[in-house]
Amino acid sequence: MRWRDWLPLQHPPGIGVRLIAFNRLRLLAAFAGIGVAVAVMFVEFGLLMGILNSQSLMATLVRGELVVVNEARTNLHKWDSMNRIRLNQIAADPDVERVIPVYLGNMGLRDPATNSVRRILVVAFPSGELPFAIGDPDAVARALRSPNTVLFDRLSRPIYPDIVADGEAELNGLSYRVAGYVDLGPDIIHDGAIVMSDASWFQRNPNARPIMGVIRLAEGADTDAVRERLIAALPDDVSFFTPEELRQREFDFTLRSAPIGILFGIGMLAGLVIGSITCYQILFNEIVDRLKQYATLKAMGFSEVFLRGIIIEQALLLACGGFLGGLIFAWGSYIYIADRTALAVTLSVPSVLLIFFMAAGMSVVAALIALRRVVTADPAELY
Amino acid sequence: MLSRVQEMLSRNRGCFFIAVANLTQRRLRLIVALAGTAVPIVLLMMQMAFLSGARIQVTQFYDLFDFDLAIISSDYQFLIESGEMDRVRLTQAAALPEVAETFAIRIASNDWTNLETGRQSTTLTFGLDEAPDFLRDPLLREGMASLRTDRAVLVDEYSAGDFGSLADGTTAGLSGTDVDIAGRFRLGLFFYADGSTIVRNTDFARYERGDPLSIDIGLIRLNERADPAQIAARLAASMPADVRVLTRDALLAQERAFFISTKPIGIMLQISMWIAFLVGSVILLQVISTDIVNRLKEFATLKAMGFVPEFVFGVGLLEALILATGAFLIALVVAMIVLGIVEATTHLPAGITPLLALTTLVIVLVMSVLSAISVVRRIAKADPAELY
Repeated sequence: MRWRDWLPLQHPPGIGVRLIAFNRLRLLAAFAGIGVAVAVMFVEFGLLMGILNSQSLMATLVRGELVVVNEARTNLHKWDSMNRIRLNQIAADPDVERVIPVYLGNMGLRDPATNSVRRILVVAFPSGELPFAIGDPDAVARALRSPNTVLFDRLSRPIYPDIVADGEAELNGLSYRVAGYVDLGPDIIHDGAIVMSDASWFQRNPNARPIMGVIRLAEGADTDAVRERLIAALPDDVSFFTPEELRQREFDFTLRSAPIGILFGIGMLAGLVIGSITCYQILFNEIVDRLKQYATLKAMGFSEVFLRGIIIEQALLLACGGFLGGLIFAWGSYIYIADRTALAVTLSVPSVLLIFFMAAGMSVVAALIALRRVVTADPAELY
Repeated sequence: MLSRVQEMLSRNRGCFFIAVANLTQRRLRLIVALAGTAVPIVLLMMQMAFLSGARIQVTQFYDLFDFDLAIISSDYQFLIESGEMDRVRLTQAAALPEVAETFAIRIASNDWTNLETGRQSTTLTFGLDEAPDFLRDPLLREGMASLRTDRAVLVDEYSAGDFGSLADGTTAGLSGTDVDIAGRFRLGLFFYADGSTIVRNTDFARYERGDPLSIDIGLIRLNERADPAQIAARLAASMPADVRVLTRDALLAQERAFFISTKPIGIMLQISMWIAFLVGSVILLQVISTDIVNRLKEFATLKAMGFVPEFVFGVGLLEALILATGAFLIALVVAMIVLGIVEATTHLPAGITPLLALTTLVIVLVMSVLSAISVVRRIAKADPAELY
């Protein structure tokens, strides 16, 4: 079945294409107009998603079935730590294979060239167990086994000094050996990160408390059943999430935290409105210019459905052409934005589909409004 | 000479009347054209207001204070990552006869506990010296004067809802110690903490252990006749390399530049603004010129009636200008309402300033002139005979 068969079209194929292709210059202008609207939607959406995804990055990188955090830690950027004993209590469950404690902190990284200190996020965990998908587990384990060794986050913003593998880095006045790199990525608040073993972290902070526990279950264990048991067995000062739930919670929290959702949501809405207006104008002009032809068709007895089909087809063709142009522009600007902000601004299949349907939707709505001109056209009046 | 001027005026009046009559001939179409023109203008105004709001917001803290020079650590990036320095640098600065007074600010990140619900939030605690002359904000000045006990604190009115009641006399937990709210100030730290608190520097050590002799930011007031830039240079030369001395303007400029060019939100707002500027201008051009082109028949009729091309063009230009001005006024009202709502919910000072309104008006007028010019060729070519 071809795509046309899905639509309530009565007119033969090709009329819509020939109509919009009749005036090449106008077609290009129409593509450009819709392309601009699509590009605005893409960029604003990309900015919003870049922020939301970067803020929930840690949750998406978790290598485990469940995550345990302090109950008061309503978002990942709140650093309420947990009582260590909770992790041991969790480990006592027969279906829990391992609980990996994660520690977070800040240190000052000194730039030997300028002598200035930049704050950097420290992520610490037992050297043998990699709780996040940020590099090759064996390589990270090997690197972190030797004391006072760190791995530098390759995706950090370029405000830090050049960190070379096998070089030295001065953190809070102490010298650490840089064994290599991991891929984590910054967010709105943190500009960069280093990874070290919990042993190295304890050396500086003997009383450090874990901020998160990554729980790995035995093979074949039922995640929901284990979670039920853990909730029943432990006091309610800790909460359990699957990584996906944690990501979703962080995503929603950031979206709700006042300025971000509003600032970039409004931009996207504006793109949609602009696109609709542009599309309406183009189609309206198109219709007005060919009013005589449409009226003739009406006089010849073609139905309203027939005429509507022609115009909706034109709208969809314009939307497709404009969408492609906007997509190419967006692709380029995403690369630029990702480079400037170091945030995860990427084109994903769902976002491309979402914007495409919005573009198609606004074109059809615009077409339906513009159509009213044809419906009211009285053939007798035109001659 | 006079008669020529009179003739021009009367002709222009004719232009104006025809333009108005032409525009208002069909109400619905005029409304659609005005609405279509207003949308890109609203977009433009809002993105510019967001960016300018963010620029005001990032220096909001410093705007609470009255000072001429600031001493900051060489590690200073921006308010939230200020680095630390020795308090003795302020004493050194005070040795200069032109320096009237010095003021130390300490900053720490602490927990705020709402004792009613037990909820914890992050708060930035600012420790201030007791020197009322440095306090520019009347609310803060009044608040500092009401800090009488060592457990009294001021709290940011724009703190997140989790903070609980912010009324005077409410007891809350700050860094594990019970404190009493004695007043409020207005700051709003939007991304960096859920809220903020101000305490006296003599009480600061209760909430943050650490070297009591280290401070985060030093402010300086000069004697009236002293030249800030010159004193800043002299102080910078006499101090070790672990601090920098900046004038007030330089500090604020650096703060803004850091946010706009380094922090992702700033970069993103800037990108959004440029997009709105480009897209808004292009769409504006398109909407206005389409509306004028759609009246080609009327212009052709004018030509057929024997009016000179300049006159016909004058009508077109006036129509574009009237349309643009009308749409600008509508957009101004809409943007003010939307931004008012944004301001009320986010506390981002994103209002429409006169400068912003003027900038937009200029862009709008330039675009309408450009669209009129782009249409003039079509008018010149318009052949009355072809249109009927």
